[in-house]
Amino acid sequence: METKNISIKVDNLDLFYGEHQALKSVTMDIAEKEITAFIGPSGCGKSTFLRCFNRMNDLIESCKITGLIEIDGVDIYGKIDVNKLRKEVGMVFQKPNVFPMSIYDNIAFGPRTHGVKKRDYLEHIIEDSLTKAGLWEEVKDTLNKSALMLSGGQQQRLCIARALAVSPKILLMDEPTSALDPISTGKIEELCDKLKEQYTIVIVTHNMQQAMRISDKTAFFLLGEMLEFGETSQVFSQPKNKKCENYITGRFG
Amino acid sequence: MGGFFRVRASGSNSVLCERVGSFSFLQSWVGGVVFRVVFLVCALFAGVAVVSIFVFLVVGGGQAVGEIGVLQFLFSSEWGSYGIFNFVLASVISAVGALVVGGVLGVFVAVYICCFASGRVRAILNVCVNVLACMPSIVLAFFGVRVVVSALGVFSVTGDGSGIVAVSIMLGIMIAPTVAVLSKIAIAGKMNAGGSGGVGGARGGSDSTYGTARALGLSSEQAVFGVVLPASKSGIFTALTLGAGRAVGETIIVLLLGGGNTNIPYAPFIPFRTLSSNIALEMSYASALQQGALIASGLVLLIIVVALAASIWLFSTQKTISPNHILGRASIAKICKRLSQTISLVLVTALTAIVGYIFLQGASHISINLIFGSFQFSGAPTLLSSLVTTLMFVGLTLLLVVPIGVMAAIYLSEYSRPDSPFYKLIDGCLSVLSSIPSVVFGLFGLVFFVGFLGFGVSILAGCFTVALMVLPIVVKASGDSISNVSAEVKSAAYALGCSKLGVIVKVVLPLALVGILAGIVLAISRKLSESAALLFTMGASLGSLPTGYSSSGTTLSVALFALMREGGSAGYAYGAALVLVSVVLVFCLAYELLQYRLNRFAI
Ligand SMILES: Nc1ncnc2c1ncn2[C@@H]1O[C@H](COP(=O)(O)OP(=O)(O)OP(=O)(O)O)[C@@H](O)[C@H]1O
Ligand SMILES: [Mg+2]
Repeated sequence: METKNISIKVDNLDLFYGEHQALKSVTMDIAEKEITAFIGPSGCGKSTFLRCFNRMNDLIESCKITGLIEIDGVDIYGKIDVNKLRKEVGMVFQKPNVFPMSIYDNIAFGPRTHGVKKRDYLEHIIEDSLTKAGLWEEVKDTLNKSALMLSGGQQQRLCIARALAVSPKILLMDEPTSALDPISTGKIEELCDKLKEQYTIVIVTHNMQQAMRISDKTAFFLLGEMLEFGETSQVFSQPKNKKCENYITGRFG
Repeated sequence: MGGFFRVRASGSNSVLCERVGSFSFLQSWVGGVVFRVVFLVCALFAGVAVVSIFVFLVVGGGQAVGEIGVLQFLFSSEWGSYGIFNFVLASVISAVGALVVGGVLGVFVAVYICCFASGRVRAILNVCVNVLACMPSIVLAFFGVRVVVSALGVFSVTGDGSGIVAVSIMLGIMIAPTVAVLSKIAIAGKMNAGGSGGVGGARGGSDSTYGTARALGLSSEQAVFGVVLPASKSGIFTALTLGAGRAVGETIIVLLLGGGNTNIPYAPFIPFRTLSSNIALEMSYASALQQGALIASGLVLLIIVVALAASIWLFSTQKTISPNHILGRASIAKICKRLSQTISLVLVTALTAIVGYIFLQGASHISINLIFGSFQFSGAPTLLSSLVTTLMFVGLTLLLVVPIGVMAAIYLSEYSRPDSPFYKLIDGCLSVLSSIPSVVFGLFGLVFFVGFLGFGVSILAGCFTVALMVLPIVVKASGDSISNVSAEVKSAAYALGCSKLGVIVKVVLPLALVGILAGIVLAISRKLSESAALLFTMGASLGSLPTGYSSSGTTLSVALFALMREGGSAGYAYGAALVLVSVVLVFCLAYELLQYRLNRFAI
């Protein structure tokens, strides 16, 4: 089996919300161009951990972090430009959160923010990212319609396209399909499979089948601790950790 | 690989950035800092304004009070030797009178709207309350003089109906909407679903106080008067206190309906003055010591009003809900329900009478020449110069207040937390600013803009004065709609690498626009209604077309006031009232529509 480059390196990460410790000395390496899934019961810190990678936790005042996270060898809590970091590490949220603007403006928002002004280049980016998100054929004639007119599944793919439009390296997805119907979910799963050729994907999911279907690696969290991490097939067939096994077999969580 | 988002990374390997990476001010560190400072300065402005109003009133009045003697000033009833005791007492008495009328009107109407009225009736009542809230006090005074005072004249031995009764009635009508709107918020919180209770929640949700009471087997009116009303006590107290504050501060109504003598209003038809009407009556021709005494009395007025507002903080902590068994008795509750229905009808009738009177009378007097004819000292007066002045005035105040107000709101809702001392301080200053009576703004404008800054009595001075006055309205409305912008949409922008300033400019402001506009429209209608603050800053006599911001002028409201004082041709007054009411109504309805839109399409 080929060894992949490490994209995200986490070493001994502790995270506190005020007094409450939400992550406890988490250490893991996330490989490039793979899908890594985070599973675990509600409140175990999956979203919190995910938000560490693009420093969205900075927006929460009570949040304090110690430990190390490196992306492509750079300490992202060191002296870096957070906005550039977030451009490199895209995020898709649980609820499709499109801007109440046109489809065009939704996708153009990111590139414009980072200084793209030329119209033809913008249009190229828009077509490109909508195509990657599998939405181009559906919306190419209605780019100037409000994004709020789209269905939930389409909105979520628009959010993915919007994240892709600033050409990130890593895509973080926090339960991206939990608000969607099975068909839309299927489409997004297919999409993830395609996207991993170009992007490193970290996905949080409550759906065990989903983790099994799409991810290469799986990490299991419980009460802020990472109890199990390995090849997805191995985590699901012969978990080393007892609690992880209980969770996977549906005995708690 | 590596280093692609390092601050000083030279070898950026990001395709996008390499190809286009142009400098963007919104994204830059400098932009963030510069604007943060600008927003902060704007927010601090509210504090500076409040402090300087106090300072200038103290400086302006302090010397005079020193000369007069503090005891003499406060406790003598001889205005000849500058004692204000009678005025203080008269202010208190007229506020009590206003509360009797306006408190009853406001609270019962709020009860009816929140608890009994359904669908269309509720909507109509709400609109009536809001329209009445927009009515300029000069228009209420006009109606009071022409209709109420004449009617009351029948009961007066002298045949003159002006006095405390007329004042109480019109002041009561004036504060009724304030009381009603605030009581509505308190009552709706106990009526509607969702515990803490949005006004929008469904009525009688099982988790509301009302729902719980109904579940115990009380009838609807027993639940309302026995349980909900006692439970909303502290909110209603707040409403009444703010209503009283407005009544104490009101100038024009008291001045025109109260007569001019320096008596205490101990009987229904005694002419009297309050602190505020005394200031308006004498300020324009006062000499040095007298002017100082008037400014000092403005300070006393300010202190009374701020103390009233502060009493809300001190006394309005909600204790446990204790049902009221007298009001909860079936028979009494039934009577109360009837009463609330009747009183709502009274309010609608009063509004209809006021608007109807002005439209009917105005329509028969208005003509093209009255509105657009040019001004001649000897000839018939026209409205043209007032219209022009009004436009200039509204335009410049907007220019002054909107940028500062919106940016202050941005600082408060995006850069500070509601529980931080800074936020509380500025928020407190804004509520002080919004409770300051307009005649006190007038005094400050006179001392500071007219005198200290040397603007003279001019449109410019009037604009600055009123800009301070409406600042809290703009900050409040903008702040509310800025904090209502969905956090999810904001995080989407942050996650794309947008800077904080970028998120504010490109996401928050566009989404908050409707709410900000609503605030601006409300501010405009306040400006159109304002008269007391303009009397001695902008001018109080009718004149020719203004030649610029340094000339004096009268807005429509002030023109109507001047006409009633000087007694010009009746046609002019009716015409002015009609035009004024129409314009105010347009803005008032525009505000309603924006609010409606806001609630429909809340993001
Ligand atoms: N903004 C916050 N402030 C304080 N505590 C928080 C905050 N966000 C999350 N927490 C706490 O941190 C812990 C982890 O929360 P997190 O949202 O990361 O869990 P999760 O695994 O994503 O759960 P879910 O599956 O329900 O999304 C929880 O105990 C939660 O209460
Ligand atoms: Mg989560």
